[in-house]
Amino acid sequence: MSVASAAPHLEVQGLTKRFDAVVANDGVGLTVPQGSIHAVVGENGAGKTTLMRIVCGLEQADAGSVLVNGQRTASGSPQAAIALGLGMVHQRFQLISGLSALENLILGREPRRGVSIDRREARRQGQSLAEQLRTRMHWDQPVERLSVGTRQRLEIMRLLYRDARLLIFDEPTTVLTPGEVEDLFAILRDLAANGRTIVFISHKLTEVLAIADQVTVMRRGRAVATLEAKETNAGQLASLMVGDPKLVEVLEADRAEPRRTQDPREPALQLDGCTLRDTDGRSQLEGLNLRVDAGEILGVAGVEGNGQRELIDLALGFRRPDEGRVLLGGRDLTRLGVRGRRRVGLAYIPEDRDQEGLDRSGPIYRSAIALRYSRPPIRRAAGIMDGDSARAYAADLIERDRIVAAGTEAPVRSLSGGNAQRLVVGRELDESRPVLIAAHPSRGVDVTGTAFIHEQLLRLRAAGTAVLLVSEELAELIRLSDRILVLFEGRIVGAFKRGEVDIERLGRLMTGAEAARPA
Amino acid sequence: MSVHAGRAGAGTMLDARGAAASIGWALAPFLVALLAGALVLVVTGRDAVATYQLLAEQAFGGGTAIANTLAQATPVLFTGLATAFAFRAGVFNVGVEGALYLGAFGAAWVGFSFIGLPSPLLIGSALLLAALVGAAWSFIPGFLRARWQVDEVVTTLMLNFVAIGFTSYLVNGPFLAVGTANSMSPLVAPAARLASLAPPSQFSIGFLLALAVAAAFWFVFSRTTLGYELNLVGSSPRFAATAGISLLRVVVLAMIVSGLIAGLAGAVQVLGVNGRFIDHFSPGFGFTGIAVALLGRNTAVGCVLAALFFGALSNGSAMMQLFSDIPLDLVNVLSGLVMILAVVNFAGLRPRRFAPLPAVAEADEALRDRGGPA
Repeated sequence: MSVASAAPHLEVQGLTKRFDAVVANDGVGLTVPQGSIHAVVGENGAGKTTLMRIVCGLEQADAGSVLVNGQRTASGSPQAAIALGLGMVHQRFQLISGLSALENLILGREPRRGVSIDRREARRQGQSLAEQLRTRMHWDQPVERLSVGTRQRLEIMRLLYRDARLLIFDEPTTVLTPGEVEDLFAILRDLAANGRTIVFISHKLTEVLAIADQVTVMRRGRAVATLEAKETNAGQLASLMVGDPKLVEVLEADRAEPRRTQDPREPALQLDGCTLRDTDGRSQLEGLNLRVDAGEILGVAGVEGNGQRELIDLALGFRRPDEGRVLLGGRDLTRLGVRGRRRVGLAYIPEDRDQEGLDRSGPIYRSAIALRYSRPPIRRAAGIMDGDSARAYAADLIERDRIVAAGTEAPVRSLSGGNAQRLVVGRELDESRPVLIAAHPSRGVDVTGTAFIHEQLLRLRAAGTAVLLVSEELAELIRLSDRILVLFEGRIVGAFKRGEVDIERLGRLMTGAEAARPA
Repeated sequence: MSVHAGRAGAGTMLDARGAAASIGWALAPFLVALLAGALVLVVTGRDAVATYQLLAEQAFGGGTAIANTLAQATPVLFTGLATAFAFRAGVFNVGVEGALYLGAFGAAWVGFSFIGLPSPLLIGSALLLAALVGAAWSFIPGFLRARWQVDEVVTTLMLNFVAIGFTSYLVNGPFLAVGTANSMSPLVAPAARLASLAPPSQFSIGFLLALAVAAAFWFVFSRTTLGYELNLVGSSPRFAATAGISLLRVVVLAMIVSGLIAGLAGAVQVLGVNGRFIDHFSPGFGFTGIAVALLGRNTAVGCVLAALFFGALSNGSAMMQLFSDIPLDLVNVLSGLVMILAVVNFAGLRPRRFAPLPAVAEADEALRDRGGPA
């Protein structure tokens, strides 16, 4: 850090970028000194990712300039950005599945001996990078077998392998477990201490305050403020991000809300001794008993891959249990398919909204009417679809849920993440359904979006809906759930009432660090 | 409310601009193919402009020329629509050729077996049987794909050979016309023939039937809940499954309808052009249909335009041979180029405007994970 450089490591001046009618960046300025950790916060659609894509040469700016060490960069050239030592860890990793960790590391810049790849040299360099990050890597494993956290570290190593001096992280913690977040932060601090510069994009304010030296807040394409992390707090950042003091109040109120557990009512969704095996006969769920009552939120905690997906598939009717029964409101629906269960009254907010919750390439109205197209008034006699009433319904949804969209014909992919989520939630919760399954509902969603979905879940609970909430956000689970179950390797290893458990305990149970106790 | 109306207005304007851009980019493959063809002509020492002039004259110059072009467009309009129907649901059906052969034989069989029937009834039953045979044939790969994710590109392609070989056997053995040395069925009854709309050309009411199918295609995809399901399964199978749509049902149905249209293509060729089933009669109508569907971006209007293009090319070149030394192969080069360029997404070089080709991998995954008990 003693490297006294006259110019800041990264300087952005008056950057402007338009996509059709949308201004993604509007005269953004940013200064990042060498060796610092600089956070850029803002809601989904505030322009953070666009800004960083321009810095890395992945997008071309309409106006403005990017300077690295005082030197102006060529706009829209990723090669030039790499040559200047810029590198980015994207939200979706850029690793190639099928190739090993080592092959991914060296891809595009292989050490050579004659005409062949010098694998020994590659491995030596890989090992030294792993030591630098104080981690270990299974170099010969195909990347798809590595855990998410390991894949992320591999991405970091790839950047270091290419001599990146300025590393940009786009929402790096979204995919990590709490323990992995700590590891990542340790790595980032190390890198900064060694003179590398970190730009950290996020909308999780507590994380930002824990890791960053400075914080730049973006709102609707503008950089509205840059603050020293030590001199600000989550409340100030939130109000700068949202720009609406009332919303911030709602958020704070939600955090402080005291909960009275309601009297247990009749069970709405029941899984009764459900066992599920994969095609090789390995058990994915083992004798699972689960009950969600009307008017309660049942949280399910667990690290991805421990049976949550299978649990949701069973409840929705995508798969049938090898043993056991699924009941909805006391009715045995084990043999009923997805459509039948949806009719009986199942709402579903999927984890992967892009793939499971929306038709991204289609117009908004098509995604909006997915649960209604087969009934009047949209479906008229003889399977004729009433286009007007389909569009009218979509328009109502857009207006009611304040979805920012260019009309019902605009493609879903033109929506920002938060607005896409509103569309999914609005559609699923439009009619009262006795049971809601919500999978990681706040994943990849900003402060406003999270507040919106939490508000909806609590509203439904109060109205007597049974909510099955599957999440890895332990704070979210603890805040919202009346009861929490912990899944580990397809079994329930812990069951708690509200207030009986804290994050640390859940974390230990989820990862198998604490032995199971009878549920 | 006024804000709302204003936004809707802006949307319409954007749509209009988008539509204009779409049309521009949809024309790109044709233009690039014509340029490349011109290059071939110039390199081989011929006058490109004069050749194209001659080609256009032969294809569109006068009533007879236009009638012939429409006659040539008829089978590929059918096969294009058949292919597009499956594509829309994300099924890459390359087996239209096989269903066309079986449909053609079915129609011929009705035509030469029930010669006593009155004309409308005879034609009606011939078309019906052809459609049913084509549908039943295409059900097989459709079900294999939907139930066990058997790659439909492989099955439909291979089943083509089975269908062509089987019909070949039929007209070389049991149904070989008496008194002919070549492998062909007996002639269908005169009452089974489709009337020519512009004698002596082969431009028959079959073309109107093809237009009617195109209209029905448009109607299904833009005005029915079935079309909604097909669209949704084609573009987002996982979402469709989550919404409760049975992927199995929709995929199988798409293949059945595709085969049905393909069967009609064969019937119209028999009843309107050849008058009988002839062994290996199709010069690849089913495969040209793939190009028609791709060029037509899987839309009804697009397929009509693309079919007209190929019809004109085919008719113009046949006539051109009579009046010049331009080889017929030039047209094969041109249509080959158009097919390749049709797959190149010119719009992909710009911000995306068109739906991508069927996302087969995604659909398979969805069928495997989500196709089961729904």
